Order: sequence, then C-alpha cells, then structure tokens
Amino acid sequence: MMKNWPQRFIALTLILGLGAPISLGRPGQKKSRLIDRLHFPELHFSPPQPERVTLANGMTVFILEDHEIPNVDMFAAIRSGSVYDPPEKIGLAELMGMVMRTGGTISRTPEQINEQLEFIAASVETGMTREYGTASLTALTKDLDIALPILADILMHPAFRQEQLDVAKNQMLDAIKRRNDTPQQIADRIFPQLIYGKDHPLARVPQEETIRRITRQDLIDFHARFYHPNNVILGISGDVAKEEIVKKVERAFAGWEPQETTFPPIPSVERRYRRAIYFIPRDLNQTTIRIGHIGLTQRDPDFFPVTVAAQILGGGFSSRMFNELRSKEGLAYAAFAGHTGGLREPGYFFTFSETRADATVRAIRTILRLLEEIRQKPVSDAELRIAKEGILNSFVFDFDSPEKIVHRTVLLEYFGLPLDFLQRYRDNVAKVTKQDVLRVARKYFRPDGAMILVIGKEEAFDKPLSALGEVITLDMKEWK
Amino acid sequence: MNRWLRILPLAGVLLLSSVHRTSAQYRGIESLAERVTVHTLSNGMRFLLLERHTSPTVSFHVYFDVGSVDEHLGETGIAHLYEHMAFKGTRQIGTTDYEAEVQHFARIDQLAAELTAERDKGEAADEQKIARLEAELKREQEAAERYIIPNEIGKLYERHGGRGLNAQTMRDQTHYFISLPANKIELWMAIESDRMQNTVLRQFYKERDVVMEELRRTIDTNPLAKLVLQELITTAFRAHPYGLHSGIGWSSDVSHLTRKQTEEFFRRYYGAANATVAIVGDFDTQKIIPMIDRYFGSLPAGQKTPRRITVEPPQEGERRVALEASAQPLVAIAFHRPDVLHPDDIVYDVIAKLLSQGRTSRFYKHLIEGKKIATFAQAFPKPILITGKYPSLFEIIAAPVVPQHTVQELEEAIYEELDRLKTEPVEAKELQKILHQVDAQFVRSLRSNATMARLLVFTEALEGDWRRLLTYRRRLASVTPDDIMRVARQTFRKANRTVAFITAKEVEEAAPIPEATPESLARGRAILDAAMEAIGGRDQIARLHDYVLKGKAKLSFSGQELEGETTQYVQLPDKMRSEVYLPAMGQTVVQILNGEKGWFAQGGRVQEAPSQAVDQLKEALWRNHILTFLMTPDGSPMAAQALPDETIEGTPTDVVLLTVNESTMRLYFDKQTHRLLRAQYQTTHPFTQQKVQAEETYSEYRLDDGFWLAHRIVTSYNGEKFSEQTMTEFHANPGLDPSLFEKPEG
Repeated sequence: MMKNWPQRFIALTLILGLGAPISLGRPGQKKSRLIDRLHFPELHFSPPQPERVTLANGMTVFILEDHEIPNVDMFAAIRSGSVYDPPEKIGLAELMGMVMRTGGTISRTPEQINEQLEFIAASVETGMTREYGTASLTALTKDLDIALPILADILMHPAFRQEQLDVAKNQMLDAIKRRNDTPQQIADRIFPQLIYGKDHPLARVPQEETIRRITRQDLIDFHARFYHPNNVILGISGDVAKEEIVKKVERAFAGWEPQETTFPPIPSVERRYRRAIYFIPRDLNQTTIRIGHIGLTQRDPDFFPVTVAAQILGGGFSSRMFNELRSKEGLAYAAFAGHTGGLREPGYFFTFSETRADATVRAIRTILRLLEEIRQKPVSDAELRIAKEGILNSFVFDFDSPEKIVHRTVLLEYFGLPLDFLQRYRDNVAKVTKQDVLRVARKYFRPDGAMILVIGKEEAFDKPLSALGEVITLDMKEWK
Repeated sequence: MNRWLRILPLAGVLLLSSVHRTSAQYRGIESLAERVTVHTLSNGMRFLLLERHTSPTVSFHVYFDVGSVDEHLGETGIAHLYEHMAFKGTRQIGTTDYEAEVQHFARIDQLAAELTAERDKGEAADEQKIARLEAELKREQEAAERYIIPNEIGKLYERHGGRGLNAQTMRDQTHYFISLPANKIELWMAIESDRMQNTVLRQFYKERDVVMEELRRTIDTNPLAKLVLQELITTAFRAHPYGLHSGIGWSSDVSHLTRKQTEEFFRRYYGAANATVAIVGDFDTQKIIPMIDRYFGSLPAGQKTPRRITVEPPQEGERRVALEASAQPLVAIAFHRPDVLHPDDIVYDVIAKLLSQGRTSRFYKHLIEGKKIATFAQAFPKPILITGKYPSLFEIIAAPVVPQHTVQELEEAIYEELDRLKTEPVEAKELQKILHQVDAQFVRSLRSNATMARLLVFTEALEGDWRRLLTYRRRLASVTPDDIMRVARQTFRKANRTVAFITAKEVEEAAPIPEATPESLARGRAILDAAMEAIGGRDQIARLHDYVLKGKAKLSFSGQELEGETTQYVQLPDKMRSEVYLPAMGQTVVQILNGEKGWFAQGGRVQEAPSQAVDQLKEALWRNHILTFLMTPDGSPMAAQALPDETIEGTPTDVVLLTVNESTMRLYFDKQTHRLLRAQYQTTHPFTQQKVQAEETYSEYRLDDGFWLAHRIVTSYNGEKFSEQTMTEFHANPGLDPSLFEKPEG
C-alpha cells in the first residue's frame, strides 16, 4: 500500500517551483558515516531552448524538436482568462473553456470527435485559468494530420451545443455546493480574497447566481472576443521537423484572421500591510491557519532572496517552522511557508499550517515569532547552504521533458518574462547571501502587517483568538 | 574518483535524433532492443540499465520477489508491515547512536509481548497490569527514541533533490522507487545497499499501530475496497493463497506481529537473489556497472522465494457473497483465468480494453450512455494489486444507477455484453483501435524514466525476461476475433464466476439494553447536563418560549432530489408552523400544529390534518426540540440512562438512552465537547409511512443568538441518506404572533 508522503507539501513545491526540503545536522553523531562522506560530481546542465516563430496570422509558435519517440505534444495559452468575466457572470470564461471541447464544433459532433480521437489514441483538451485560456494535444506523429485539424477546429469554430453547456453548468453548480466541504478548500478560496480584495479579478469566485445567468450566446461572444490567432501562443514539442510543422499549423489554422483585441485593464493590487484576524468557525479538531500578506512579482530581483528566505522559514522538513511546530513542539501536522510569485500582479507571501485545535493560538504566536526572528538576525551559514541546496538540487526536474520545457516557455512568453528566466533563477538563487536574506526578510516579511485566517472550533482552542487582537468572524453567507 | 559521470545532455539528444530519423513508421518499444543492458551480479541480483539523456535525471525501481501471496495464516500482513519498516533507517541512517538505541529493543519487545498476552485474555485481562505495562513500554520507547532521526531516508533523498519516493506491497511483489538528479546516483546506491542488509526495525510497535490504522481506514471503513480487495477474492479462491486475505492482512494477525518475526521475514526474503532493479535515465552504463558491483556485489544472496505449490481446483458452481454496508450498491464479478505467462494472457487484455477502455468502449456506450443503467463499469484483466504470477481472475466492477436500476439488472446487462463476446466476432475496427491505443501507450511510456523503469523491472522479474515487452505488440496484433470468442466461451461461464455485491444494511435488532441502575441514570443525567451546558446552559434553555429556525433542506427519495428552503416557527409547548418553499415547484408547503389540531396548506388549498397526521406533527415537534435543546417542550422530565461508551468515527462518545412518552432515542455525545453527534430512533417514514430506523448526525456547531447549535443535520432511514439540512438562521424568543399558528386563510 502506498504510504502517505507529505503530498500536500509536494504539491506546494510544485506550484511554487520551490526546491525539496533537507535535513539539518545531526547533533551527537558519533562517527562520520559513509552517507556523509559521499562526494557528488557537479551537474552540468543546459536545457534545450525551443525555437520561436511568428506566423503570418500573428500566432506565436515555439518548437522543440525531440525525436526520441514518435509522438507530438502541443500546449497553447490564449490571451484571455476569467479575469475578463463580467462581474455579474463570473464563471463565464471557465464554462467557455470547458464547453469548447465537449460541445463539438460547427462541423463535428462531440461523438464524432471522441470516436476519431480514441481511434488514434490521441487527446485534445481545452480549459481556462484565471489569466489565460488553454488548449492541448497529444498524438502519435503519424496521426498528427487527424488530431491537429480537430484542435484547430475546436479553437476556431466551437459550436457550444446547449446540451453540453447544461451539463457543464450543472458540474459547476455542483462544485460550488461542495467547495466548503473542507477547511483547505475554504482557505484556498478566501485567503487570496482577503489579500487582493473579495471582488478583485485575481481572487473572486463564481456563485450560483452568476453561473445561472450565463447563456450560450455569452460563450459565443467571449470566444469571438478573445480567440484570435494573434492571441495564441502555441508550444510544440516532440517528433516534428520545424519547417514541416510550421506548414501544418498554418494549414490547420488557415482562414483564421488576426483581429485587434482590447483587453480591459485589471485593477492593480493595493499594496497594504495591516494586521487583521479573520475567523471562520468549523466544528473540527484540527485548525487551519494561513498567515500572510501581499508579496512581489517574479520580475522583481528580490524575488530570489525572498524564495530562499521562505525556504529557510518554512520550505520543508528542515525549515524553522517545521522544526518548531512539528518536530519540537508537536503542535502541527503541517507547517510550511512560501511565496506565490505573481506573474502580472504581485503574488503573496503566506504560511500554511494545520494544528491541533488546543494548540491554535500557541502555533500562531510561534509563527509570528519566527517571522520576527528571521527579520532580527542573519540566518546561519548551514541554513543558507541547506536551503539553497534543496532548491538547486531538485531544479532539474523542472526540465526533465521537452513538454515541460515548452509548457514553461509558453507561459514565460505569455507573461513577458525573459525566456531563460528559469536558468537565471538558478544562478540568482545560487548567489543569494545571508545579508540578502536579512534585507528582504526585513522588507517583505511583516508579522505586524499580516493577515491571519483561522478555521476551526474556537471553544477547543487553547486561548480565545481575541488574545491576538481584534477578531473578525467571517459570515459564510457573504463569503460562500 | 567520481569522474564517472559526465553529462552531455545536448549530445545525447542529437545522437538519438540521428538514430531515429531513419524509421518513419511505428518505432516504439522495439527501439529498446539494443539499448537495455542486463547486468547480473554473482549473488543473483539483477540490474536493467537503460540510458536516456533527455534530462540529467535518473529513476530507480527496485522489485523484491516477495508479496502478500507468500504469507501464511497467523502472520498475514507481514509483507506490508515490513515495507513500512524499510523506511525507518539502518544502523547508520535514522539514528545518532545505534549501539545505545538498540540496548532498549529487547526490553521493548518483552514488554510488548507481555502486553499482547495480557490483552489476549479478553474479559479476564487485568486492566491495571495493562496500564502498568503500557506506561513502562512508553518509557522504554521514549528512551530508545532519544537517538532517532525521524524519517532520515526521506530527508536525505529530498535534500539531494529526490522526487517521488514511495513503495508498494502487492500480492506478487514489493517495489520501492524514486527519481534523483543524475549526479546523485551514488546516494541511491549507498542508501539502498545499506537498507538491503542493515535495516533496523526501529519504532516497530508504533509503526504497527500506524499499519493497523491504515488497515482500518482502507478496508474496514471503506465498503468498496472491502468488497473488491477482500470479499470477492477470499470467496473466489478456496485454496490458493491469493485468497488468503485483502493484502494488508487480517487485523488480528497484524496486531500480533513481532519485531523478531518481521526481521526474520526481511532476512529470508530481502536477499540479493530476490531483487531486480531497473535504472533509467542519464548515466553511462559502462561507468555505473563498477559502482553497482562495489555497492551490491557483496550482499548475501539469500534464498529465492519458493513458488507456492497450492493450486486452486476448478470452480464448479457460481459463488455469491453479499456485503451489508451503508453505501451505494456495487457489484464485482470475477472469473478464473490463467497466469500471466499463458498464451491467452494477451486475449484477456484485449477483452478488458474492448469492454471498458475509453468513452467509445462497449460498457461506456451500452451500459453508461445507452441503457443508462450504470454510473460506472470497468473490466480488469487481472485483479487490482495482482500481477498474475499465479492463475488469477478477470474482474468486472460496476455500480448501478439507483434507484431506477438494481444490481441484478446491471449484472444481467453485463452478462449480455459478455455473451455477445462469445457469439459475435469482434469487428476489425474495434481491434484496430485497441492496437492503436497500445502502440501509443508504449510509445508514451518511453518518455518517462520512472514509467520505463517500472515496466522493465516488472516484465523482467515477473515474466522472466524484459524482452517480452518487445513482443507485446506482436502478440496483441495476432489476437483474432476467434481467439476472443474462444476465450470468452471458456471463461465467462456461470460456474466459473464469483459475484460480490453490496446491499443496504438491514435494520439491526437493537442490542439488549442493560437494566437501568441508579448509577446509570445519574450518569445519564450528568451527561445531559454537560451537553446542555455546551448548548448555552440549562437556564437559558428553560427561558426559551418561542423560536424561529431557517435553513435549507435537500431530500433524496426514490432517486429524486428535492431542494427546499425551510422555516420553522415554534411556540412552546405545543405550537409549530413549518413552511417549506420548493423552488422546483414554485410552491410553499405549510404544516401547522396547534395543540390537538393541525392544518396543511399548499397552493391556496387548506386541509385539516387527520388525527394520525397531528400525532406525527406532535412527534416531530417533540423530537426536534429535544434533539436541539435536550429538554422536552413542556419541561416534563425524561429518563436518561447512560449506556457503555462507544467510538464514532474515531471520536469517543458518551451514550445516553432517552425515554420520553414510552419511546426511546439513543444519543451520542462527543466526550470532549459534550456536543450531540448522533441520534438514533424509530419513526415513520414521511413518504412511505413505514416504520424505519432513523439516524441523524449533527455537525458544524456554531453560536447563533446565544445558543450553540448544529448547523448541519443529515438524516438517514434504514441506512439510506434521506435528508440534509443546513441551518442558516436561528432567533430565540422573537415573540411570535399567535396568528401564525391559526388555521391559514384559503
């Protein structure tokens, strides 16, 4: 049977692109062990760079040839995103992203698409995130001429059949009903809303009534507004030859004309630090705690030392938070810190922990103390080394397949980051010093200006939350 | 010394591309023929090495030829327990001082054995002795734990950039795997060779508890897993050890496993001769081989696992097994089939894919989309967690759409599909689709080091030669429509099948209730008092004369879901007005109780409630009030008798039997918070008017207008969920207008 390695942490590092955690020294170790005497060669590593091509219709294409296996992968980001949902129809973009694929095209029914793709063991999918639309394809090289036209047809001529729209709406309504099932889900949804503002496009969420208002025509209009070739960045990896694949793409998307698109501005994020304690009552023996505040974008040179500082503070099994809250005091099941590394607007800094209910206030105080301590004096040489090692050692896994490399390249282009950002990230992390860590900790970690979100059963807490300051109990009718 | 590793990722990629440019058509798995190196050590340990220079990473997969099929009654679960222990470290890893730590083991083992012996006496066990032994064991364990470094194997791998560390115990084998950056190959060699000979089973009894908990979580409280992993398989096999248990073991066996036994298991089965390893990724084969020899060459060979000799005799009649559970109905059907090396093995693969792979498969098109009889229907060529070292089963697992369809109807529909396989030749296009899917799957597995390592090591160790991967496609392509009909006819026979299914739990006869004693009544009263305190205090409750409850309710009945918004006005002791707005019908249903009279109103029609209905309304008012405030509406006394404590979903509870007007309710209170978690009582089903056993569960306690009330109540009748209510508002003592409880206007 599978053991439960800390999945959640692993998921977190993936999201954040942080490194793996590491262990501290071993006090009292008698003699030196083989395992400590091993010497590892340096890892020389320069991942291949995809080539960039701009088509006549304005589509940007990245190509990374890799002929190990006869298979082709594509990933496209389309300039759109649920940030452009009208406030009264939040959920529109997401529905559009779903029904584009499931609702068939003008000339192909959904059943025909399923039959055709399954016969050649290929897949074509579409979706929508907050900041971009997605489309993807996987097909054996020999079947590309069947699968690629389907992908193009779906992107250009989706039919948004009503029956499939109804199914998708029901699925979304069902998801809304279930999104308060776990404290985890609640915190994931509400914490960004506390940081960015409840109705900010980077944090707001669909509601039952906003979903119900959405019509087929809305989907058609959303698609017509944003889905133009000049808004598409398409990444291709695998068994293709550059000239040939460019021709194929041009042919598949023939007749798709570029069109000027206006993107309404997204309200900029207010950079503010204010201490506030938010409480959501839940009858649970375990308390979910998030503490954090606005952070910075990945463009900011300070992003790298902040990443290292967060790693030392709460980046894994050897971090200060893990040691204090879990190993030493046994207060928490989980204790991590990180930074979401915003792409267009600043991300946010946060700590994440789950504690026994009767250790809630103590755990919060410990976290705030650790945040204060890392601002007060420089971290140790060993801590810095171990934190950097963790980040740098697992870094190669971010480049371990051509699909991953292309996927990232597409997103870097989309957000206007330098295409060698990840390579530079490595160098930038390597050169972080103790002084850098202290400087950014002072500048960006603000325990006094941090938002504290607590979900749990207050009467089981060790002390009332009010011991920490004024508590605002969130009314879930307003935060549903 | 460590110059063996030189990483040339770009050169590697270029080299590969020039090799592969030449062949235009299918060139999947065949490309491996020249690329895999097999290196066997003199102790019998075998390494399969496949270079892939796409990225500077390497995946490792270790296969030990021992699994739960090799266990015997009395020590079932030992293979899985050892797998857990394998992560506890060695004499060097996971400890600051092994010599000092190990001093405590003998005493710990002795105490644990004494504790087990005492507990085994059951009723006659000496509770004081148990407490004393537990305390001493805990002290001794803490003394040993002073030296440990928790989870150090995991920490070491992660510090060095490892991803995906894990292990799994299956029936036929146990496997351990991880991926590392390419320069950390020696780390893997050092840790793995160390734990193949020096594993220390530290924190043994703690980990045994963890495994017991896992057993409880994965089998005992999960009807689906219990049905498929335990009931089906233990019924299908009478003799062969595949049918011995679920794979995790019987809990009574696991709880008796000792450190000594488990260590012996490790010594017996984890020798080099039983191990096969695949390493796939960015390394130089010629340079890695000397390192393999150095680290693993001197490990003791040990013995190869003997083959189990028991053969399952042919089945001569259908076997059916029912599992009563509060879960959605489910059916699992199994047919005996030969082992993985039998020439027909591949035919079973084809049949399973025909039946259920993808949205265009037969089950999906006919059972899920067409007849809409199944929500889920999946065929498996071999059972979950069984790889087919020995003859095993072809399995089908399916869930009916309830309540429109029953398990029996679904079973019939499945057999119809199986009969079609016996009589109608499969169309060429269907076979073609499967061939395409297999091609693609193989091709794509080649792009992941981890997947390739797993495929290679399993094929080599289980099937005797990894090259069977190369012939898989050819074997699959040679399957004819006649083969499918032949195998279907010989396999899908009634006498050859075992059927396991979940049925709704029957209403249990209530356990005999112990006679009430003055003590049990006093304790019952005390439990109620504490619970009233947790609501907001007896005085506050006693001052309540009227209140309003608003909420949402969702009813499930006969497969229909009905949602409504409810408002309940109560004026104590005997008036109630309940309004249910049903958005689906755009109507409000009103029920009023006023003393001995009652009315129903719906869509402008008013009706006087017959006396039987008045009684039901009265019962509802009383029950709801008592379950919310633990006091009768008129303040009359209730007898509360404490029953033995029980644990509900891991929460220890106080149990009280409440007797009011000659009917009883069983209430379960959280021992810590004193909140009501669950109530059970007999009532009349509001729709069918039949007597049913009701159970309500309460959660989401929140403070509302001075009272701590459950904001979520789930009610089930005879084990089937009936309603889910969420409270949105509560107002205490609003001073309700008496006209609310009068006969409504027409």
